[in-house]
Amino acid sequence: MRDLEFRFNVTIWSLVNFLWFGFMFVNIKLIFGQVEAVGGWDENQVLLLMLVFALFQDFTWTFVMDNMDNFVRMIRKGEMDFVLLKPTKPRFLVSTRYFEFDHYPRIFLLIFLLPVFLRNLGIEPGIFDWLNFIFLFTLGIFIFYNLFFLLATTNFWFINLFNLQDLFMQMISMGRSPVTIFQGGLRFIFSYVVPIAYIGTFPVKALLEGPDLKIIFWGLLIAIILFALSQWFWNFALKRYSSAGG
Amino acid sequence: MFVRYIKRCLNQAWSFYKVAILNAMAYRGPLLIWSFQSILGFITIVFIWISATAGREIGGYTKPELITYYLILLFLETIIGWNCFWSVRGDIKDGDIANVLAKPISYFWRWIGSEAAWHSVSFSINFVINLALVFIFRNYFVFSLDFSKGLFMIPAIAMATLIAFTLNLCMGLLTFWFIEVSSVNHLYWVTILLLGGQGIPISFLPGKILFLAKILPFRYIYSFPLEIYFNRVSQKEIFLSLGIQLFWFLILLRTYKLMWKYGLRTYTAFGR
Repeated sequence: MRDLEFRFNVTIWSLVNFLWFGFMFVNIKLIFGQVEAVGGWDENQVLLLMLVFALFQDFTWTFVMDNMDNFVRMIRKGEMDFVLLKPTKPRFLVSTRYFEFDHYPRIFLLIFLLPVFLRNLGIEPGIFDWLNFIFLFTLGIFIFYNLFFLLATTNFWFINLFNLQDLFMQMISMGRSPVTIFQGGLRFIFSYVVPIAYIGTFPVKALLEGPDLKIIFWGLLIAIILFALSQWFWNFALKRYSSAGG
Repeated sequence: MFVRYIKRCLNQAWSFYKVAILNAMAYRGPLLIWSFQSILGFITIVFIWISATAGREIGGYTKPELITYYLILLFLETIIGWNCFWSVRGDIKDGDIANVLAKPISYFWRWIGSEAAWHSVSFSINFVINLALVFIFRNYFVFSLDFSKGLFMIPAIAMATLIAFTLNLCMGLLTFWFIEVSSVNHLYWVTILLLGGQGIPISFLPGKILFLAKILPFRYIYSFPLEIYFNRVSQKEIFLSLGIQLFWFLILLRTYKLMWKYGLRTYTAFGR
């Protein structure tokens, strides 16, 4: 209903989403017009990675980003009281209040393009590769939802972190590049600490190279730790929350 | 008369500057987030180029020059990136603009003062961080500034700041007609990343698109000062580009005045 109210904005957003995809595509084409490989990945592999990244971006925008932004805003404006007074889990309420609908056109296009891009690489993944891809992709969204929720909860102390969404977008944008561009400690950090590898690199590897148990195991472990940590931190923050009067 | 008008406007901007400085100092968290955000973006792009398998030059730049490009860009972003879009959108959408309309103040100069304050504070924080990054990547840093042309970086940066500011102000004023215009801001970012040299240097662009980039205002925000730093523009091109900057600023200023005039006619304030 909210999106239908602002039809101009939703239309422009849908257009912008396609433009972003077009921009990323052109950007990669321009870069590969000058270089042979990036982090050991060739042009077709990076294009596939870009496509999976765009899909990840669409799903997080549809389900996570607006809710996190609204969560931060509610703390700033003292509106958390309205959530806390309702007879249901407050974390569930703040995490599922909004869904964006302007990403659906692009999601359909990307799902259609995914097999096309794979054919360009001469790869036909089996059913288990697809299941593994979907599992890692979903795990990535779950990991980043918890990470963003954890960071957004810090606003109970900072109060005015109105630009947290910019940081979230930047973190997700890093997933556009293969994690192999980083070396040593930085590669470990971006694989398992701030695990941007689960946005694109690892799901794409699942399609290109098949299942890797180490990646699945670490992904599950990171997801469980982040969920437990964000839940504990949320409870801790709520105990110290002083209402602003709503 | 004109001098008195400018003096009054500057006084207003100064008042808002002082308030915004206090505001920025009170809420340091957002500034740190922006710093962290730009560092993450910088790290990614730099490692893309470091890990790239390529010949000696990439788009007319060597690898150290490309890394220097993004280092200088970091400094420029903290100076030039005056973005009042979200605040203007919020002012109109939430009805807070009624507070401004009821007072004898200029909306334009109010945001000049506020943005100058935010950028003074953010520059002082980021300058240290950016210097640390220059030190970390010192083996890649290339000093290409030709001093005879380098002096022109000062007016180029000043004009770029005015263009970025006025363009964002105009985009924010679209809220008068469409209420929710966040998408327009993203449209701006897509364009500036591709045609403005903020994503990749414009020398990567093919002929016709490069020509388009040189006509539109986006190149004159980040790319032009960087081109001066890397000595990619002749003295004649510098003068021509400064003229184009002035042209775009005047066009945007006129657009702002028209949008403000007609926007106010459509605006309805309530509950204040």
